[in-house]
Amino acid sequence: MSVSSTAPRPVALPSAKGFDAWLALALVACVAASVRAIWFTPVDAMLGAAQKIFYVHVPAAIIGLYLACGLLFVSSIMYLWIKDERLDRMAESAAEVGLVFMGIVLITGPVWARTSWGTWWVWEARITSTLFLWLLVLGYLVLRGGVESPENRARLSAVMGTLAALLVPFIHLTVKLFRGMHPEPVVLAPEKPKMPPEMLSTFGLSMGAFLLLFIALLRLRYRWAAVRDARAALEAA
Amino acid sequence: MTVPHRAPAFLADAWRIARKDLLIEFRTRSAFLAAAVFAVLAVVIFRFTWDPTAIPAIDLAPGVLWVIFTFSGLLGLNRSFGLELAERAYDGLLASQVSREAIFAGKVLANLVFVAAVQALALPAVALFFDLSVGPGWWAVVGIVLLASLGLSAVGTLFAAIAANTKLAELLLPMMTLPFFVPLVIPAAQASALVMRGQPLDDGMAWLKVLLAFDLVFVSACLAVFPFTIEE
Amino acid sequence: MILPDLTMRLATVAASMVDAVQDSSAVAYVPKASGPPDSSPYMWLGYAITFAAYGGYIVLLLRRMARARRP
Repeated sequence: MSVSSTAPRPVALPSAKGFDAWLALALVACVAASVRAIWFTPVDAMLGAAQKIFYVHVPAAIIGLYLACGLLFVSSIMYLWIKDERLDRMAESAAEVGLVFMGIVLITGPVWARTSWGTWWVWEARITSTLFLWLLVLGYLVLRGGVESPENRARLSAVMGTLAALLVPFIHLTVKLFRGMHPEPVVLAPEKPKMPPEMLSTFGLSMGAFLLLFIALLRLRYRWAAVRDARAALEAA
Repeated sequence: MTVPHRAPAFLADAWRIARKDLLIEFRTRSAFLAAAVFAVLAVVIFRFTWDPTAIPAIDLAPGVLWVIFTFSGLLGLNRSFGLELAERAYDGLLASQVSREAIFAGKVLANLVFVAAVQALALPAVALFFDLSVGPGWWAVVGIVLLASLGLSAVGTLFAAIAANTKLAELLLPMMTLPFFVPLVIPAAQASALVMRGQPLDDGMAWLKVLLAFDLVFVSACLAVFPFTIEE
Repeated sequence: MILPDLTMRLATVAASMVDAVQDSSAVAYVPKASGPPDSSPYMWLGYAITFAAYGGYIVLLLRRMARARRP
């Protein structure tokens, strides 16, 4: 009896490891970076201690807005092209972890703004863009929750992910046409950075630590998605 | 030697589908009436909760107009694919010789007519209730509304096709589409407010360019990805 | 803690002495002790929210994994 090439090949059940070495390392790094930021970094002369929120706010923004969303968009577009379920799993994991990072940006931002600008919320360019991106990713995840069949879910959310990728430059453009109040980029300025070296190194360490955290969370989220899908496939069979 | 080739009946098919949707809507008029009632209600509520001494009419009116645009548009979009799904007629439509792109174009056209019809009601209503002075520049407002309607219809029709595959489609459609409407409604509102205030259209060129670019990019992109919303 | 307090008291005394002599050109405010504003409650709030959010998400993921592992 010949084996049909279209029959699904049995795959080994994926590993269901929870708390792993990456996560442990990432947590240690984040705590260490934060300790350094709070106790071993000079205080900003004008803004006081609250400026130190910068060391968690900006890494969350860079990772959430560029890395996570970038992964989401690229995976969605590639899925429409290649149709590999692993790409779909990567898209959903990047979306969810990205939502958390962006959520932190949206909450720590106003806390910092309260001290430096005197107001909790301001409709200026960058934070408004972040809000819209957060809503966009939330919509993406809600869509995924509303589709039952895994193939449909993957396909439809990949369509939304692709369109979302196209939307981002328009959001930035629209929002930028309003005047912005956000502090000018201090770290990645083309001339020499305006921050003193101790603050710069703390920022660098913070950035590295939260990057590790993102990778660890992404891995865990992806692993869970693989286990969840494998079990669903088994139960359906 | 070039071989003459044409898309088999693309325009004719699209028009036929648009006509079918519009005829059904015209016979029942349910979605249009709902949108019209919403438009009038919105105008009335905004009018009577407004303090004319605090805010001049010209500052409030554009906001009212674009709120009506967005939400009445959503009302129309909701029923866009619901018609077929109720009777499983969608499968029949797909099995026919009509190309996917023609189906999409037809539905976008129908939604465009729907939204434009509601706006044809809303724009005079707003001008009337808020005592706005209508000048020759208002043709620009009509143009802006049409451009925005095109973008709304393209994006909205695509997401309606996606939402038709989900449970809670009526909740999901606004959730998915509202971030997409932002680069559409903000430029349109800014540009139209400018014109309604009597400023020359040139002042709002930047906004118009964003609107045009949005339409170009998203009409093409939605047309391109629409086939992916259909189960093979 | 003590130094700003002392400085405040000295400044207040000095200002009131100036007041007694000529009030029209007296300064309108008492000069504060130098140093950045004390915004540390906001800093703690920011860090607390951050770690609560990440921690909460980690707990959520670990619980999901535990549930998925159960046979």
